[in-house]
Amino acid sequence: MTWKGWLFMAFAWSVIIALFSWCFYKVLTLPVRGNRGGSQTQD
Amino acid sequence: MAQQTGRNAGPRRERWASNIGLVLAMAGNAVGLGNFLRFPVRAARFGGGAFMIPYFVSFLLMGIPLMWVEWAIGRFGGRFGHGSTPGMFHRMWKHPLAKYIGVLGLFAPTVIMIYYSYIESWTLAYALRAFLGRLPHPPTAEAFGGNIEEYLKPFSDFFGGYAGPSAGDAFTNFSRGGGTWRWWLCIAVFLVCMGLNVWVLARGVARGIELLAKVAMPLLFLFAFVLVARVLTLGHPVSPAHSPLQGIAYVWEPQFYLDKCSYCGNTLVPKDGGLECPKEPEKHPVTDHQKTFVLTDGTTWLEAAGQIFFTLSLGMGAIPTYASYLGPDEDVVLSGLATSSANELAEVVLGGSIAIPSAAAFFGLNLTKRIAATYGTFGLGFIVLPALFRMMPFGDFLAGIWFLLLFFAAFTSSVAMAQPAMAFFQDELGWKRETAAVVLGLFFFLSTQLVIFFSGVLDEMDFWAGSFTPVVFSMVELFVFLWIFGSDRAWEEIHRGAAFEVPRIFHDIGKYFTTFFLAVVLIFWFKERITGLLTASPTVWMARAFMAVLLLVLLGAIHYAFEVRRAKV
Repeated sequence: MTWKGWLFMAFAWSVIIALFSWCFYKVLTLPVRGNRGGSQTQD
Repeated sequence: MAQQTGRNAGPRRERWASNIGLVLAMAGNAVGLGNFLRFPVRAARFGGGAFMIPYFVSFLLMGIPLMWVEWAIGRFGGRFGHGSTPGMFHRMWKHPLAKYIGVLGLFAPTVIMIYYSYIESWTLAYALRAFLGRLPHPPTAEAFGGNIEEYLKPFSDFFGGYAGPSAGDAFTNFSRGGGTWRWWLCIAVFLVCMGLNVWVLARGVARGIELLAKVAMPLLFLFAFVLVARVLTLGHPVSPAHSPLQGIAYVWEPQFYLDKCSYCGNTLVPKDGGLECPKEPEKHPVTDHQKTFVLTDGTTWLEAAGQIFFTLSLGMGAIPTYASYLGPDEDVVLSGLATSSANELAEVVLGGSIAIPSAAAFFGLNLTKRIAATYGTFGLGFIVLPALFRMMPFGDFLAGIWFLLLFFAAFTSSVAMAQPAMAFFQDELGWKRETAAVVLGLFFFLSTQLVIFFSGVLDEMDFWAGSFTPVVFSMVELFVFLWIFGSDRAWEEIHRGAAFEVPRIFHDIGKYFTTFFLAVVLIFWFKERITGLLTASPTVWMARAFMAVLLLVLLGAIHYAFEVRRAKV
């Protein structure tokens, strides 16, 4: 693979891994809002 | 019976139990067979790194805005007790027709589930047989004698014995598999799959779907990491000239100019030091091939946009349904982005590093190009990959986790495809959850018989429900949410309880660019596919008739549900 291929792949992987890590860190630390618990069935 | 909440007009409904569970369930919906099989083949065939440019443009300007729109529509509908798009559209657009247009968000996932559950059963059956060491074991020497077709033949026959030559006539072809499949085993595995789906659906959103996602998604990623690690450390297993890095290069090396067949537009593949058309090598001579610049090629853009649709499960009705189980002030911006990023990690980083690189390591790059062009998605996953694992130490175990990975990917997607109909039965018709799950399970089991016994039905359903309807329905969603409901109200709705603010530029991108982009995709789609639609086999017409009847039944059910609701009011 040429340097252009490596560069492009490294860039794409970095962006995706960074985005994934940041999003999941934020999701895990997101304050729980609303009425959680999942037991509110309709019937 | 339903109770009223204090703040909202809708009945009290189920909710997700945790943020991470919701995101994993949404990611489970999005991550499917397409991430590990369809993506690497598409990327490699349409310019490698150059394909990734329209792919990422489509992701950024179409995928993410649509993802936020679908999440916001779903949470908005859920506030009024609607978990399926007919009710959501009814709330967003005060027009008598609105609820009927929403039928597309019920039709697409229901039809997809009919054939998807069957494919899901293949993955489970293959996983079981791999772990038991019951996949074909031809002498690996044949693979290196130059005749790859001969080496792949037992795997091809094995697959043909289950799925038939066109993935449609499984149970009529048992003898083709050399007696390796028994019909009752196929039925039993399919029943187990359907039973698992019904069980998860009957347990509900938090105790069923969310729990499944919390178990299946980490395992899926773990299996994928194990396989990627194994493939990238293969070294030079056959010849110093072949390595997995060549496969990585094939997926990622930007090829701005592609040699295309001037007859059918397919990318030409290597053949005896030259090139040939992978579709019709005899009828389409290579002397007529042309160089095409990837970034101005409509087909490449169409493929990239189509892959984004397919991989993020957009326009299929499942995302709004899942989002309807959010609280009215719970974030959708971060969660939607987290779902998209998890899907991209599974697809671009992991999916692109398993199938093609392992094929390149054993078969070499030229043969891998031919395989990518001729075997297709199912052939790569169910024929080529098991054959490759056979040549590695602990091959049965690796094949087992490969198919288990595919099974988890399919399972988490199939419950998502069934949930819009579940929500419709529960929210609009007032059915109990368990009743709805059992009725749906029976319906899917019986309908899938069409896919099993009649060749061509699967492909036809996939075209209309898996390719065509999502693009149309996404257009409708954008139009209703951004143009009728109003882009400022939509912007406000998306930002209600948001963990961060979306750059304002996305307001205009969503309203103008994404709508325009989708319209262009749709026009190209029609142009490419319209020819040949009328000249179809009787079974294809039967599939179309079935889908038309299903659409009418769903429209009737919507009419009935809303008439009953109106009478009660």
